[in-house]
Amino acid sequence: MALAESFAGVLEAARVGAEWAWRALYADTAPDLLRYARASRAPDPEDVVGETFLRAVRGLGSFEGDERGFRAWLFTLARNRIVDDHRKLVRRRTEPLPVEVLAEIGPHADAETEAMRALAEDRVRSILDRLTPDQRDVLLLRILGGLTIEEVVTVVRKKPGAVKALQARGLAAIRDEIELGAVTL
Amino acid sequence: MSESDVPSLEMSGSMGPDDGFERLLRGETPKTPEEQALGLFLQDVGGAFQAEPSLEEEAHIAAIVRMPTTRARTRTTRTTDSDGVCR
Repeated sequence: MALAESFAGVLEAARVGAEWAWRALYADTAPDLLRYARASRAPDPEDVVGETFLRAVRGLGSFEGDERGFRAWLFTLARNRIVDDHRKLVRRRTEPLPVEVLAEIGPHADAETEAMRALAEDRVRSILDRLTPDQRDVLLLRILGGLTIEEVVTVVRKKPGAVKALQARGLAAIRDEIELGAVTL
Repeated sequence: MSESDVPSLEMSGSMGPDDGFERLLRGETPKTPEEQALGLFLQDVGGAFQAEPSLEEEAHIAAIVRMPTTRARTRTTRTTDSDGVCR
């Protein structure tokens, strides 16, 4: 939460279309939204972030709240888009992308850094894949989104007890996997 | 209802706040080896997924702000023709 006390001023400026204000909001939240989209296996994570901000620009007039509320709202918009994408993927036959498109959207970091990150991603996914989609969603919103239980309740539109149960079962599964030595510590 | 009808987590009453997890999310030091292991996993989750949006995407956001009522063109997979129809 980098904006803190300046958030109200930034939000007011964003409401009247100040580009600097949107850049500040983007810089503050886009990396976490992007991590969440990637971890949620969104087909096009960067497009999720772009679409989230497009919807935020259009819908800011109806938003009321503080910085935490704004952050939860953005994660709600991102999650809605990811859920839509997953539904479309199930309905649509997937076709392989041309090589030149893959090259354009592929990783751009140097090979060693990318290899290390890919290893870490595999390790984390091997654990997260043991969770149910709802457990994973709740925990990713808490870990990567930095949202509280109450904020996750608003994002996933479930009852507080259900979210707490999903978190508890997800954490129990993760602890079991850690205990089994599935994570390289 | 027998005990076997009730999920173990509800039986144990562990649906309340998970103090260790909450502490780790606040960036506090783990208190037990179990918490330390979970903390390392949380660090792995944070580092495993690339977090830097591309510069192209940031420029895209600037364009969105300048043209809030126009459907923005998506980066790589679709193009928009002159009447704003995504293809």
